[in-house]
Amino acid sequence: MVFSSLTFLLFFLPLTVGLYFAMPKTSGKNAVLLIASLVFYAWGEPVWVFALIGLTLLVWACSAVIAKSEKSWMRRAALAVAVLGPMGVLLYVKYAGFLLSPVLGLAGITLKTVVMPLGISFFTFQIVTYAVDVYRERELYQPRPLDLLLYIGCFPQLVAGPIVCYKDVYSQLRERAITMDDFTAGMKRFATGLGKKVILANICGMIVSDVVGNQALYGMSVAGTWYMAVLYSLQIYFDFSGYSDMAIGMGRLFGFHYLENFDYPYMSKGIAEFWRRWHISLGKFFREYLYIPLGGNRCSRARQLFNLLVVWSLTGLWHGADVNFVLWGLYYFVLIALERFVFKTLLDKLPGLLRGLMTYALVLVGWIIFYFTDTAQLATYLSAMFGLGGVELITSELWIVVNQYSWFPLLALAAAFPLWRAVRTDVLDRLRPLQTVWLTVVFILSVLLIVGQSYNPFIYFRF
Amino acid sequence: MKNNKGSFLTTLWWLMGCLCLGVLLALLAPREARVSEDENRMLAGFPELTQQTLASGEFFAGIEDFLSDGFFARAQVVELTNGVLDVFDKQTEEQRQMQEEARTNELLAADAELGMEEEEDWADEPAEERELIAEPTPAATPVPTPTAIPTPTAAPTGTPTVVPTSTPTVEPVNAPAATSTPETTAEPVVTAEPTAAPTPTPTATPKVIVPLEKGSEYTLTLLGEENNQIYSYKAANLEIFAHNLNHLKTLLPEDGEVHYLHVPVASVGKRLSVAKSSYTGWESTMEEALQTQVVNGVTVHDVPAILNDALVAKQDIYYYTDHHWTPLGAWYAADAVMQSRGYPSVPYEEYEYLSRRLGKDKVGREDWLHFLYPLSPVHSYVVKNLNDETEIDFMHYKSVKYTGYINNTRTPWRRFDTGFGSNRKALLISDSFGNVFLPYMLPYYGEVHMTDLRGSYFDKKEAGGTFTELVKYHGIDDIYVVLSTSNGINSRNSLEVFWNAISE
Repeated sequence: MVFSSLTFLLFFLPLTVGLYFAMPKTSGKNAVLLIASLVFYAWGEPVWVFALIGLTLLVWACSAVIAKSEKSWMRRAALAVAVLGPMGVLLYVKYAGFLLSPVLGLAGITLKTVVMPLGISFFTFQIVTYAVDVYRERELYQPRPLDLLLYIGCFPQLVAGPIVCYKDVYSQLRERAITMDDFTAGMKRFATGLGKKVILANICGMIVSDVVGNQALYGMSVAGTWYMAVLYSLQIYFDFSGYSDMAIGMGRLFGFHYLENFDYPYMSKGIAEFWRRWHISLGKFFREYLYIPLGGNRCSRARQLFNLLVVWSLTGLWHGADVNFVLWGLYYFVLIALERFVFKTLLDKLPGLLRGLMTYALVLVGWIIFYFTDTAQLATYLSAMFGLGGVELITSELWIVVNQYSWFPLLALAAAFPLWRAVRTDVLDRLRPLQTVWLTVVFILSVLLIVGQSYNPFIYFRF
Repeated sequence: MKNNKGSFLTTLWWLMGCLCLGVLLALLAPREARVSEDENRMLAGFPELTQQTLASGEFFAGIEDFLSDGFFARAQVVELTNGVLDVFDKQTEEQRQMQEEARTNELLAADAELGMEEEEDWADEPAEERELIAEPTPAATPVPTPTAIPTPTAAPTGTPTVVPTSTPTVEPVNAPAATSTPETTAEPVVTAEPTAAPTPTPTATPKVIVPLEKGSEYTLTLLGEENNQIYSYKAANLEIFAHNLNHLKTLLPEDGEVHYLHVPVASVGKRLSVAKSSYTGWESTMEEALQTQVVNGVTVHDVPAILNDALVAKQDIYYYTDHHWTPLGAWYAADAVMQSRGYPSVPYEEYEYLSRRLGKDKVGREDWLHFLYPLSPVHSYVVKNLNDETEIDFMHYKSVKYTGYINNTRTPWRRFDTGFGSNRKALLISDSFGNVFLPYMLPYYGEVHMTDLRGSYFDKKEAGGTFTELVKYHGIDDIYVVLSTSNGINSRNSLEVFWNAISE
């Protein structure tokens, strides 16, 4: 089930909220939330809910050993099982085809692939954080498997994050207070996310399709490729940050305080900063559970480079089992290595606006790598972006699409920046009552768009 | 504090409003799948709940379709949301025209794909659906899969080879265009296999890659400096369809005739008729091949040949804002058919019409509906349960949609008492392309019956008998089959549904 579906909006969410608040105690609320989460996950792919439960039980059993055993080797072995078990499943369903098919193909063996379960990349990482957190701090051990299942499978963040570290929420699993303000803020945040997704991301997606289609008909131009890249950057930002907003909003509705996942990433003045603002929970996961254990920054330059290479290769692969995702990860490895070790002094001297524009341009190139899974197409498109291959600077046909959506991209671009911060606080306070009215309009329009427009994909679901 | 409470109550009402809406939808939304003439597709009913649909997740997807397709005032919602997108549209007329051409090219590509598609749904008209660009539609509800398909017992002549169904292959048959001027850019890149993500083509110069399915021997081709094959037909499908037509003949009296017309949809026809078209005509080889496989008394009419001159002369025989042909196009076909039978021609101008504007495309070309005032008073009935008749207006003269013709497609059976003295009775089996064809049959028959055998249109329980029983009961003398290229020979599924309907 997706948040931007009628089934979710008209039935699942109101019923879950109603039942949730009908329960007087946290244990009852947890039970409602757990059942709702299992239904949510089973909706559409009933079989995989058993895998979710099975993996949770495995990790819970391992964590009991980790927490209670005094023998170091036993704790390590249990940790290995707790981490490698779920990771093995992830590896099989997501990467087996990509990694093994070329080899097996030579031997004439066809690998039977399975449909990737929704959100497996996200909840596998949550399982890992739990196991590692318990290994690091025994008192984090969760004696109740159902509570652990709730942490891993809680529907707001189950299928597309944010990746919630166990240590950040474990106390909330047992006790949490929900105020009227929490409810209101949660619903508003949900409506904001829904609007981002259904209105901004989906229309940006339509423009991207139109531009790409237009270029398929008339050929590429430098301007067209950059225009597409900008629109795709907005689509993926509003798509994913919208989903995160909805998840965080619903979390708050149920008394959970999830960490932010985005912080206006396109206003970054450097690549490292971009990744501190984009998909923050993934960056946090890789930093805390991989980069720092590998040695982080406190080691030789060569070792740092190696650590970065590992982290960014895996970041790329996490996003998808295709060559372009690996390239995309390596692209960021190169950029961050250059930024940190080669150009740092030079970049520090540049005006902020110029650094911001350079960063955004580099990010756009990254999104193009991300977009095209076919490497031949990717190479052609990248060449066109830089005017290679004899492409025109601009084609008249591009204006057809540009004019069709006129100032919508500008509107979307403006929404990707915190322009409201330029408004005086007292003015904002006076406008605050209007926020509810505005969000009501956004909410209704979003529902109508879900009914009326069929273009409604969630890009990050495939990860 | 007051504001906080107000906001809280408002957001609470979002949820309560949603739940109320959901409950009302669940109670009031139509539970049966049905055809939307506006959106030209099947709207989903409540999905079937079985162990299999649950395990596969089909049931859950079906629920979403059920809610979306059954949403209150759906047509208005679609219109409203399209209006939201139109707010941003600042195109100039010239740009609209270019986009129109591009869109036509896309449709052409879609039609070309359709021509090869094995699994297209008889009840859907996907290429046509795409023509109604303003209303993107979710996936249609699948029509129940027919249980059997006839195996032709014998091929009368020129026994075609039965080709196994396989993945279509792409064979580029045309050279790329050499220039990049706007005129030449009207030629599309046509890829045969749809891809998950849109794929840009590296060339700056547009080119034509024409799909021709492996094993296809018959084609519909646009003729010009570069021939452009639009549809390809498999010999095996022709064989099956010939079997269908031959079966229909067996249901008729000895002097009864079966006539088949395979009508290209507007997106193809418009390629010839648009002002900038460089095509000099079109040509189809399927009809001649099919004719060789049918028995005496069955005639396959070459509709592209019939319409060719009118199209080249840029006559309005197809709509710009709709995927159907116009009454003029249908008259050309009907007149040719009747003349081939030795019946006298009734000139188009002799008919009287009430005209209404259907719409205007983005280039400003207007489409007009021409609702026929019949030469003789016609009584039109919807017939259920064999002879349970309800009289309805012959045309919906106040309509501003194509569905106004013959007052829309009605299930399961129609009868038109023509007012003419003939004692012969004809049956028209058609999709919506028959709605403008039927009026030109009236002067030649005492009764004209009509049925649409697509998916949910014909239900034998509702009809009161099987197709065969109804043909016998009503004493049908001649059968006309008028199907668009979306529903005819192109799809094996269509053939199966058709066979299952007529063979019961």
